[in-house]
This record gives sequence, structure tokens and C-alpha cells, in this order.
Amino acid sequence: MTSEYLTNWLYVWFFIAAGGALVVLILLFSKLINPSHLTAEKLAPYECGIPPVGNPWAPFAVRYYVFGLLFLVFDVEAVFLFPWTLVFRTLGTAGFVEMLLFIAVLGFGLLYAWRKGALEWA
Amino acid sequence: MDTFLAILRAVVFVVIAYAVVFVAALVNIVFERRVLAFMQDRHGPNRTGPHGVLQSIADAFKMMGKEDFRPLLADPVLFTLAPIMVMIGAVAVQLVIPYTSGMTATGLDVGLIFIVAITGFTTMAILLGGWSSRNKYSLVGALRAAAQMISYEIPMILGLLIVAMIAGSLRIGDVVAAQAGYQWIAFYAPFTFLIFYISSIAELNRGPFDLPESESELVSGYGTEYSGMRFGMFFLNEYAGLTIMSMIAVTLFFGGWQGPFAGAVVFWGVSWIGIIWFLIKVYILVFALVWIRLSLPRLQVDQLMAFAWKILIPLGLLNILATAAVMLWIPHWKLGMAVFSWVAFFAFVVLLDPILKWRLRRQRDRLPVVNA
Repeated sequence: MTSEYLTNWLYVWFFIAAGGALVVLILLFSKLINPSHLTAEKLAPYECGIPPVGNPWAPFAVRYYVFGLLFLVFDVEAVFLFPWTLVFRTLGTAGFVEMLLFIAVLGFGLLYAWRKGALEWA
Repeated sequence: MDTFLAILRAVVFVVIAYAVVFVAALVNIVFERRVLAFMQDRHGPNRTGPHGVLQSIADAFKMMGKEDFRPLLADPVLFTLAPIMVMIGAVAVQLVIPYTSGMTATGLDVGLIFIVAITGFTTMAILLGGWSSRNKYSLVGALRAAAQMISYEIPMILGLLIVAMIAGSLRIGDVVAAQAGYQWIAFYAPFTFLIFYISSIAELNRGPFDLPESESELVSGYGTEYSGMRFGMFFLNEYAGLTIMSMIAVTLFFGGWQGPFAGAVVFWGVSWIGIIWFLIKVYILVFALVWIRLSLPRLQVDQLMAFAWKILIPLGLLNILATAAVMLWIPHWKLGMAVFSWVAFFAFVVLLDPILKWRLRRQRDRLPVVNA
């Protein structure tokens, strides 16, 4: 059991490394055959031919951050739901009611965000 | 000797994963262009090889020969790391996909969670790529892509939860086994499949959800500064993603490799007819993706986010509760679920458009009248 478990996760790391290695190999191969004639214009940021103004790494709209937070809440919620999905048949009514409460709390959270206008893009 | 065989097995599966990514991407590009051409009553690429089948190979070699450079201001490390990570997502997700019976690299105990986790690599890669190129279009495109992909990841997870409830396991192999005898999950949980499918299209940044790389406003979004093969990696991932996402959908909702005579030809413990059924189902779904892309216009960014947060997520949560109730208290739960889910499916399809239009009309009526 333990060794099978370990082998499974070795596979995961092997596949992740293999995915990265593939790109590195392709990039090296294309480096061999492609030309390289760099000019100052080519190396400048592309802004439809106009000289770029200002630093693009300036602060950006806060609404992305709000959506990031909301995503975090619901993603963590999914982590709690996954184990429940496997055992809810044995837990029966009690498990269902507990999950109902949990989802209701989350639903109120979503409703709160909605009423506060966090879900509006404009 | 055992260690050697184990390593050989791992290498074989990595090679299969590589082959799937490349063949899928190259086939899908030609497939999509030909299907679009067919639907728009024109020829499409038909000069390179018989019926243009070699077009993407020619394009791939052209891409290899293009100059690949990094803009002076871009972050030196992250700019290259982004295309590497995007490919990790495409290759590693195939670890848990059963191409056919007996042909899975490894059936992880947490296969469903693994799929969610590893598709997150693509989101991160796009965000990294757009941010590190230090270009305004790239940054806006990357942020839009990230916002869209994390928003639609939640309805997708809510769909996967129902699959886990029905199969009673997070193993992909058990999910396929739970669908034996043509009791495919999509038949008795079509509403779940609809939620999953809509959000998987959004995860792919395709079809009506292709805002992050809208050519007309953002000069191709996060890919603006990328050139040559580094851009090619994003492109490859996008088109390989069509097949890989369809593979996941087929495995979870359409019985995977199962079909008539699926177990007829078996050697080395692998059923070879199953691969054919798997490919047929996958390409039916890829065709559907191309069709959807052609038929629907691009959404506005506020409509896109509202659709995920105000429609799909509440409905997904309600769907989980309703499914749990049906499975707990209705004796023939498969029949009960089929009734519930088909009713929900048609209610969603029929009512969505009128309700949205009604809301829009009400909002317009509330606006102050401006006299010119």
C-alpha cells in the first residue's frame, strides 16, 4: 500500500518534470534553427507602433482582487465538499442537514457580496 | 529488473502524453479550420497535402523557424517559465485519464482533485506570461484570463463534485466503472454536464468566452509579446486543450472508453477497441466545441463574470443539494435524478434567455431618460 502510494506520487512528479522538459527541448531545438536579428524597435514593448508611455507594472483595478478573494472562499469550500461527497450516503440525513447549513452560510456570503456590488464588473 | 520495467512503463506513458498533445494540437488546428470552412460554405486550407491535412505540420515547422526573442523590459526568468508551465498543465493532466481499459498511467486516489489542481497550472502560466512581458495589453489580457479562469473553475468543481457523489470515489477508474452498461452520467445528470461543459469552454478561453485574447481589442492579450516557439507553446496548449478537455468530459460523463465490443480485442491487458470508442466520443465533443465557437458571439466582460457568479455558481450549489437529496431519499435514485436533471436542463435552456432579457429591459426602464 505504502509503496504503491509512493509510486503514484513519483508518477506525478515525473509527469510534471516531463512536461517542463518537453518545452525546454523544443525551445532549444528551435534556437538552433531560427534566426536572430535584434533591433531596438523589436525589443521595445509592442503598443501598436506608438512609443510606450508609463510603466505597465502600475497598480491595476481592485476588482480583480475582490474576485480573487471570492474565488479563494469557494475553492476552500470545495475542499470541504469533496470528502462529504464520498461519505454522504452513510451519513444520511444528519450529514445532509449539516452540508445544507454549510452551503447556506456560503450562499449568504455570496448574496452579501452580490448586494454589496462586488460581483458587478463595471 | 522491476525498477527498470517501472521506469520503462512511466516513460511509455509520458511518450503517449507527448504524442496526444502534439497530434491533438496539429489535428485540431486543421480540423477546426476545415469545419469552420465547411460551416461557412468555403474551402478552407486544401492545398498542403490531400485535403490540406498537412497544413499544421507546415505551420509547425514555420513556427520553429521564426525568430524567438525576449523584449528588453520583460522579466528574464518568468517570461520563459510561463510557456514551460503551460505545457506542464497539458502533459501532466493525462496522468489520470484512462485512454482505454488498462491504459492509465496511474489511477490516483484523488484523480478528480488532481485534474482541478493541474489545470490550475494553465491559469498561473497565463498570468505569469502576461505579467512578465511588461506590456499593457499583455497585463490586461492576463488579468482578464485569470479572472475568467478562476471564476469558471468553481462551477467546474461543483460539476465534478456531483460526479464524485454518483461514483462514490475520486478515482477516475471508478468513475468509468460506475458508468458501465450505458448508464452514462450525462444521461441521468445532463444539467450537471451542462454546467461542467460551459465552464470547461470558459477554462479553455474559447468560443463565446475568448475575451482574454480578443484580437480586436487587446492585440491577442497575454500573448502579445511572445514570438516564435514560446508563443507556439501557448498556441499548442490551447489546441491540445480542446482534445484534453473533451477527454476529461468523455471520461467523466460519457462512459470513457466503453462501447459495443469494447472488450473484444485485448492483449497486453489493454482493450484496443476501447481506444476507438474513446476517440470517437472525444471528437464528437471537439466538433461541438468548434460548432459553439462558430455559432455564438463573444460575451461582454461584465456578462461573462455575472454569468459565472450570479447564475452558474448558485445553480451549481443548488444542484449539489438537490442531487444529494435525490440520492438519499428516492429509492430508484437514478430514475429520480434523470427526471430532476432533465427538467432542470430544459428549464435552464428555455428560461435563461427570456429571464436575462426581462432583467435587461427592467434595468433599461430604470435608467433616467435623457432628452437631447
